Amino acid sequence: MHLLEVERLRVAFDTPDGVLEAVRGLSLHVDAGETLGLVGESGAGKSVALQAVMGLLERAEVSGSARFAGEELLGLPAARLRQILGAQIAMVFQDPASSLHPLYRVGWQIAEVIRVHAGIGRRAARQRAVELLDLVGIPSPAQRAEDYPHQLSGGMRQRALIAMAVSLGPALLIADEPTTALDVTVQAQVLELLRSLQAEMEMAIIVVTHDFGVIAELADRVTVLYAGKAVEQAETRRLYHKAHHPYSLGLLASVPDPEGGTAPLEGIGGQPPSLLQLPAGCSFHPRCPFVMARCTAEEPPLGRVDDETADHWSACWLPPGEVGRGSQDAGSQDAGSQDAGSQDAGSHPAARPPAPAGDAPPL
Amino acid sequence: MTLAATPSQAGRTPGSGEPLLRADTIVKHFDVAARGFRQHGEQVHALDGVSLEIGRGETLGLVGESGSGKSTFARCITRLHTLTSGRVVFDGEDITDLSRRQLRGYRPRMQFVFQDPYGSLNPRRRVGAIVAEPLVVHHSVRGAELRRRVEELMALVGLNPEHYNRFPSQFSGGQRQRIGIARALALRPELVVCDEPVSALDISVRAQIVNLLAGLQAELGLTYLFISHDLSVVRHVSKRIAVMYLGKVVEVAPAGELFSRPRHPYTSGLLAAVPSADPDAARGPRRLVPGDSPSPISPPSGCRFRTRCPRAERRCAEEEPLLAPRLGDRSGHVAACHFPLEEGESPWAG
Repeated sequence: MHLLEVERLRVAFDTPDGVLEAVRGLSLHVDAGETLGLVGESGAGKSVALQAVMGLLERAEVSGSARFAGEELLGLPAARLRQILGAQIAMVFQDPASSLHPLYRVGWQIAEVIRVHAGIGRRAARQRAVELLDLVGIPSPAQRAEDYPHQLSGGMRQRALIAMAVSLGPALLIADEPTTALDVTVQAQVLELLRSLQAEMEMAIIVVTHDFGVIAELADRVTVLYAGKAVEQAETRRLYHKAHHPYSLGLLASVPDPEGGTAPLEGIGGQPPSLLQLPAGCSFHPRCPFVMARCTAEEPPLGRVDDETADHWSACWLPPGEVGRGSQDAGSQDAGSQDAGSQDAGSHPAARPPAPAGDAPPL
Repeated sequence: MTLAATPSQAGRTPGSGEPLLRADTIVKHFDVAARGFRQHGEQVHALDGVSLEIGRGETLGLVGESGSGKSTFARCITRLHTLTSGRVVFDGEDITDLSRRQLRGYRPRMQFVFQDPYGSLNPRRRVGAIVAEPLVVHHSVRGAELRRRVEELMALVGLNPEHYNRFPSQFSGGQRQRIGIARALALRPELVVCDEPVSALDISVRAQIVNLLAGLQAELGLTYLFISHDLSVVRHVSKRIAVMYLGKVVEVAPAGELFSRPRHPYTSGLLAAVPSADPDAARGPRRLVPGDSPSPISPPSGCRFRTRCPRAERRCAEEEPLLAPRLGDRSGHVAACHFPLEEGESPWAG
């Protein structure tokens, strides 16, 4: 049994412009102690899916299933859900500045979580809060516990929030863009902290990010989301070296290689689609350099890429081995053409000058 | 309270010919508004003696963490701020003390592309009007001619000119950034300050905008000051890179050189902190730059990085290091460190 198992999750919002399906049949799972990375761009449904699982969306239609340690979370009575959230499933958000109450001392805020869930006294909870601040690497924790959030730096606030999240020893930590708002040296510290806490506390982590660097640092497995669906799932190393879905390939090619030169980045043409007007067939097809007739009509299911590897899935009609990072040359030439340009004003040829032959970026 | 900035620092890089812009020992302090328990007279030392040159047609990358003074520098050299001290020379003319009226002639020649494509466009104006505004204000272009010029600009940055009458809300983030670029280019500027131009964009769109900026530079001969906290993007677009820390430039080098042979421990730590997308490279052993940037209200004495530096010694607290090249090095690579790194050396290796 998986620790968290999400199946065919759908989340829809009723908007003045029509029904918006933010998540369209997402399935994923996390085992105890492992880290799953959720990658995708804004609007891919990463955060919405997790919020739906935790019952944080009030005005959304949610269907499907999300079982945590065997217990169905969707439709659970609020009282029972509150027992699970915070204690067994905890969350760390992107913006440490707005996730803490500005008018309460940091130590008090952490102690409150412990008092409410663990039912221990004020003094003991306070003591525990100071221990937790120490655990997450905050210097002179007893004094910092008396500080208000504005007295801490961004990195310290994020550490304090992580202390709060792990205060009850959760089995699952959901980290939604945990380092996006931080400076790069502080980001490295926070990633290191998450790794060491995970090892110490044997937590599972779901990390939501758009940054493949964060994925590479933390995740054991990755699910790539596009327009509310999982388009590819694989073990992290395998995704990096042998991505199959053209969207995953495009994302990886969009990251400038620090060792690389200044050749134009491959990237992906066009813009992510509007969730109110999804293209027919595969929702990535208007931006895909490998598009075929079938892609415009039929939506590809998530299928195994390679029979030998147990856990690599991709939702693409291309046969396994057809694309992949080993065969980038064919892809980059297609990507250099103006195929997506006619679809979208955003991908004018000026944006992607065709790379001279043989001078494609090493990625 | 404050450490006087050393009046003359090295850091001018030997360029070819007269640079388009020369910043000479710029100091910019901001008064801290007296509020609550804060004392009167406290000052934020946003820039403390920054000297940099930007050559014609080049891209100077400016990297550093939040609060290092990158944006303040950009606002000083374009005279959106008045300097506390120092000089700014643009195209051979000293513009440090020009009045607002006198600056009007310079404004079209230096333009900004901002980070936030949502906040930097007026949501109630149509795209055509947004792009047209600089032309109307500075060149009094009107009517059909104006329309023609705006449509040309929209096409130049990859927008569909038929979308002339749309509002910013009808565009995605990447397209909005194109609108901002079109507006910046309307007056045919020489210097374009790109202040975190892709940080707010999705990764796949980022690549499009980076490529667009590079293409426009080649086509129009633009000079860029490219500010970003994202080292890999800066590396990709820049010819030279300057690294800032707490109001000071700590290292300047040709882009490839900075990445392969950093001399300042801060630069080296910054590079080591960037997570690689390659899972095999990402989890190697390394030490991290500890702590956070100190407050710019009371920066450390001597070298400002010494409080986080593994190589710091007593001299670092007593004496401020100046930007200097390695002995005999004429590549323009300078670093401000008493104990600079030798090639291949890293204080952050595991």
